Amino acid sequence: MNSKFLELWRLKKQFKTDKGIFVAVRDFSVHVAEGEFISIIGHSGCGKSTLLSMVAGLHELDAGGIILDNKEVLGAGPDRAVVFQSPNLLPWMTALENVTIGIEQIKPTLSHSDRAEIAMQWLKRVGLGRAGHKKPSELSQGMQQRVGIARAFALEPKMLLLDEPFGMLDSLTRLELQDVLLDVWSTHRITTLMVTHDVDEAVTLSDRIIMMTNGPAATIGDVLTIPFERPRERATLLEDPEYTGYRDAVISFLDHPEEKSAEIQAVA
Amino acid sequence: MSLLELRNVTKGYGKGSLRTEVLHHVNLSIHDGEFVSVVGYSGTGKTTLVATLSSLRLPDSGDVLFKGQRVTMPGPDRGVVFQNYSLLPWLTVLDNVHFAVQQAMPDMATAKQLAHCEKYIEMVNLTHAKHKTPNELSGGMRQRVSLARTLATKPEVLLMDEPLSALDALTRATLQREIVSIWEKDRRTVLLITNDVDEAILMSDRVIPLLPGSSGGATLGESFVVDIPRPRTRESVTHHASYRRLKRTIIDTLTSARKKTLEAELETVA
Repeated sequence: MNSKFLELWRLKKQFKTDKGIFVAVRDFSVHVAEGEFISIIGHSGCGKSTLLSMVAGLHELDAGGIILDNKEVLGAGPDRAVVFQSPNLLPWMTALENVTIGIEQIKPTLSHSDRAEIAMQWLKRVGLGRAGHKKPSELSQGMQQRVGIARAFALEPKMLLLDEPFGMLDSLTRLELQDVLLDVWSTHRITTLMVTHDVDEAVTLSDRIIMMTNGPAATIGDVLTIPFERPRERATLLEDPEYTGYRDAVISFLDHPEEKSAEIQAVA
Repeated sequence: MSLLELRNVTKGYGKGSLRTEVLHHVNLSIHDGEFVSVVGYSGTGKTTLVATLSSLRLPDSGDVLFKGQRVTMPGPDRGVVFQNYSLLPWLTVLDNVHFAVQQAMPDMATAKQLAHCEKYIEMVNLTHAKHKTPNELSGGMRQRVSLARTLATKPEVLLMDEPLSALDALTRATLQREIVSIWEKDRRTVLLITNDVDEAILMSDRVIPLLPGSSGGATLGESFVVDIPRPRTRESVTHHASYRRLKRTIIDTLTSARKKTLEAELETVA
């Protein structure tokens, strides 16, 4: 397996404001192995979404570089599928059409019926086999986000970029969607970068958790490896005493990020 | 003794074939001084449950009993804290609280009423902001005002409808601590509605899952007693021997009930 499937090297992003230059993220470097699930966790405003946008190619870099599968990332492309907090489905299209339209981009030579067939398989995979002809407005938010997940996987991307994908859902529906993701991901281990502020979500889903210092000029504060075997089941994880330990480690970092920040500041 | 009780309550909206049942034969008994949480998915009737308990809505069948007596009218004995704060935007913090106190304690002299209000504003740590209007306050502060307002009317039961759901994690944790410490001081009976299992375990004596029913109406499941000693902190709770099993069983109960209705939901979707 390629241990440097994704390489982020000293990423920096700054914005011009009325008060001068605002540095959002700096010196962000990490290697992600093929098939790894990485979460980025941090408080609001720590630049974690900015970071994800840079990997998606939606933000230009002010310094540093991104290499994905031996190629430099210079813009957005269908090799990186993004799932945002709001499902962003096209409202005039059915669930099936919303998934099919993505497949058109990557497999333009395929017949329409073949594309629809693939899309249907993905909808079934997220538990929406019977809802293919429904418009987004006829689906609950949780159901819409299932379509979003199906659409992302259907692109057969090199990477999945998840930007607080379940942030708009209530905490129980969030668990439901995490289980859907855990299930689909267990059979299609697409390299994933997920931004979240939900500690349980990060521990349950990730192989590694990157903890960000508070902004401005946020960077990596600490990295925690979550060695639970896959496929994972929530019920088993919750019973595991190690789970509480990992959870505590992330919470204590989030409660006192300034300690780590001070350390890093001192080194830098 | 049971202070507030639901007996076989069924409640739905709409008429005839358009009727949707929300609560289906719900039984609930809250004891004096108890802190009970009801945990459920959004859209499964949590708000209807609070509205029924406070008599803001009447059940289609079954009874609401307060101290053993059937009740059909809202009253200051059952105070409600809403998720959306429901403050009057043109009134200051003090005036918002005072307005409620005037209704609940009309015989008290104004000076005494105001002193009473200030005591509760102090309790939720808002003395510095008492002359501000709601639009000058953050979400967490607004919810504090709403809490002070309800507490100041001295209800015998506090009914809280997802009071913390709209707040960020940090503010939420602070308010969880504050609500519990206020409750520990004067042991008012509390029913908290939430969708967060950790919040329910942290704060309550008992956790009751609100289970979506495949026929449409939700019903309350068996309650889980939280045997973790008080005072609790997030650490003392997550490290207690019962915590993991409790959390797992509650989540299991909710998700397996949900799986059944999900099938039904997809059926109607199709």
